[in-house]
Amino acid sequence: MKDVGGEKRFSVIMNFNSQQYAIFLPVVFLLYWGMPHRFRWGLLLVASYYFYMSWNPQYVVLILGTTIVSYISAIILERTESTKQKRLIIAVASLICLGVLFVFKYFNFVLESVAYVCAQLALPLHPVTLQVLLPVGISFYTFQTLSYVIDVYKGKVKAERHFGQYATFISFFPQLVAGPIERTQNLLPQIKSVKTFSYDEAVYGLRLMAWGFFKKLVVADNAAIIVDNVYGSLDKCTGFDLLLAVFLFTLQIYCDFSGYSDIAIGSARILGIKLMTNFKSPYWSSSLKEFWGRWHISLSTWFRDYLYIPIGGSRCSALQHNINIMITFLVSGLWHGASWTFVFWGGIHGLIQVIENLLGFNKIERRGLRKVLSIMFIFAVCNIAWVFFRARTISDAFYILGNIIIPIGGIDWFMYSGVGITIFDVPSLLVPIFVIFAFDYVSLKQDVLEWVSHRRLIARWGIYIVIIYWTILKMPLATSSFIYFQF
Amino acid sequence: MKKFIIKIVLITLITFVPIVCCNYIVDPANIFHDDVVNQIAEYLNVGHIVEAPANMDEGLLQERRIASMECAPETVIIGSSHVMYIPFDYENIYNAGMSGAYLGDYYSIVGLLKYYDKMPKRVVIGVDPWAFLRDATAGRQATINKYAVYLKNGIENESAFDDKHLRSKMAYSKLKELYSLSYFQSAKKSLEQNGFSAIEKTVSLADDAEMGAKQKILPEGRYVPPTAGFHNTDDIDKEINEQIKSGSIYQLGQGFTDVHSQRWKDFERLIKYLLDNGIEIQLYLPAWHPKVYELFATDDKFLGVIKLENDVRKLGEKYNIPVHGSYNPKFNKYNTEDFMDWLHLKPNKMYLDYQSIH
Repeated sequence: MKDVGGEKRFSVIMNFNSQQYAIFLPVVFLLYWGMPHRFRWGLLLVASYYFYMSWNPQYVVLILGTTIVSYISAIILERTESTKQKRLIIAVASLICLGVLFVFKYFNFVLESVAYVCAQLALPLHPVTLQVLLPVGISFYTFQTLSYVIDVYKGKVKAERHFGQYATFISFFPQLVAGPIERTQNLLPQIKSVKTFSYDEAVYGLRLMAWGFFKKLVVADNAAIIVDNVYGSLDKCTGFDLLLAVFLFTLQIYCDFSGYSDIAIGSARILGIKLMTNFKSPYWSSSLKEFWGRWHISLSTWFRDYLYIPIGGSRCSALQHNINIMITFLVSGLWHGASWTFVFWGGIHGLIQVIENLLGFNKIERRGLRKVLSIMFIFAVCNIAWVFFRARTISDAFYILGNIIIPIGGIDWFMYSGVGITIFDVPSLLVPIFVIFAFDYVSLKQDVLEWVSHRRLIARWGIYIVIIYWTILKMPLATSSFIYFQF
Repeated sequence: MKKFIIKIVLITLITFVPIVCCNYIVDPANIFHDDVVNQIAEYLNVGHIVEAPANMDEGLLQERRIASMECAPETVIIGSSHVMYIPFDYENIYNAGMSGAYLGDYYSIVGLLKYYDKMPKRVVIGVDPWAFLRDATAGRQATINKYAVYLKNGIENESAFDDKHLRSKMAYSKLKELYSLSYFQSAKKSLEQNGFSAIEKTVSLADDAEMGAKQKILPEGRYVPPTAGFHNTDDIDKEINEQIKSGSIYQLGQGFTDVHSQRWKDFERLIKYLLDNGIEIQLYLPAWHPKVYELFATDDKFLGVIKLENDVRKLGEKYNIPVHGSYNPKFNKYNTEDFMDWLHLKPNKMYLDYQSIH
């Protein structure tokens, strides 16, 4: 017998879509605005650590350790004048922060990959793998601490002296487990500043949260039922099943992650803190370059500022520029998960962007039909790339793509009745998908949530009630965790 | 700030007042209209046959029945719908099977028997693979989960059995269902399916134990399936194909590769507790449909089913407990015609298994 599955380690897991969070956030809200400013960072710190420990109390040591290392490193960096010593300090700090990430996230992957290569060379190797659970949010807070230390090294920001406020910046609960990966310049001053309650900001935050829950519970979680079934039993699926699952996963991951981001940004907003925007209607992009300016913006700008530009960016030869793009996207893929499927996914995105550059695609002005076709093309590319992101193995991904192109079997309209979903449920999934696409389209031109605030009372409240009841009635009974929590 | 809080309260009320009203009035599992369950328990305890209302809280019924039993039955059957339909035909037996029972439900029933001082001489446990997908205190029947906690605490520390105030702790679990969103969805479904008749709460008695349009509950706790519950072999094949295609076999979900070690320990601890208290135990492995079993035997994702059967047999040998039946339908020479649907044997065919038990 062995322990199976990722068991919960603590009695109260604080997912955004849990009852616990529905109690936790109002309590923090009331205490936060009810206490004098000078104590607020302390409350946020305690709340954030409680939030994090609800996932696994033991891993608090890691976030605390990373915080201490980056805090001390930044202060020493600022005091050191010698460039050589500065480089040494930043190398040690980065090595420690990335070392923790490596041990927990990549150690097994590297060993298994080496063992695989050795096996191919007839050199059998039996590596000892670590039986550890990936600490939730480790990729996110490691990158946040790294960006802080690098910014101090470059002199962009001053080293923070107040350890408590710095620890709050690293662990701020709305964005702790899955971002947005905040920059020091944006978040830390907000934690320190004196804030007064703003009714409009708080209401905006709630609207954003409601919209995030709608995307997560109505679209992502319902799509997940079909996607998980298909990806879990590929050999039993028809070409149509595979196509449907590929399409639905493209929407699932968007609604899941952007839904999470909306809830995170909304939660922070009601506490008077503005987190950076993480998604801007990405599936309406007409090039992959544009897509990455709209998808997971906090990560893509992180890679731009701390990897792509330092290795040369676009201010170099065309060949080097394209190599830089490939490196950035391959590393980005690896950041998402310790598996070759993620690297492959990153590689596809990098390669298409290289092709866009070579064809001068980004210099062409796209309007009218050309723009529509470009949007559809980029959406199709995303669909294909997501197959590698979701599939268990690269060969599974190729199996899916191969069998979509050459369909196997016919259309079994009732295939999902075994899990309580039939083809008749598809419209109830398509309508919210349409609403989300329409919302995103309008968002390109104006802030829809701001637009709602200027409607008449009856219309405004009507919209709230429709969204709330739609979410309640259509969410699956067993909702799943957010996909990006695993990264 | 004040305006914001008032609006929050207002929107919470607008959201939850209709939910609370709907949950209370429609009450698809008769949690708040427990007079219905009380009445069913009362009828059954005096020997009547009752037509089972749709979506009845089976846990609550078990609590009411066991609480009001005059004396302990000789044999109690524990398990899922795999045992609920078994036609035991001798006196002084009580079938406490509940739909889709998990390990936590096994604990709840034994906890109930202990709490109300109705421990039998013999317990027959129908062991289902999915039972091990949840912890020993997380049964499907939430209403009686507290008895699982009571038993588990008591097994770990004898003094916990002194807690005689469980009923007063129930109020909160009931209250939770009032504003439960999943219960609201069930209420909505019930309204869609039954219209306003979903709101009517009446108990109908049946004249006999023969199969009819509705499912019946017999005084000994056994259920008689409705005639519509018998599917033809084509439909059964279709049901199985859908399950296999979706990759999700009933409560087993997408796969069952192994038994969680802690849950197995808790199961063994339950067995040991019963044996230590002088109760005879018999274990029963309900047969699966040949096509489903074939999947279990060939698909790595379901290897845990075969492993579990082996483990149950080893457990039987370890404690000298008889283990009857098998997940493998060939064990009792069942074929596809012996099943009333993709999951259940026909009750008269189950009789064969019962014979093998005794």
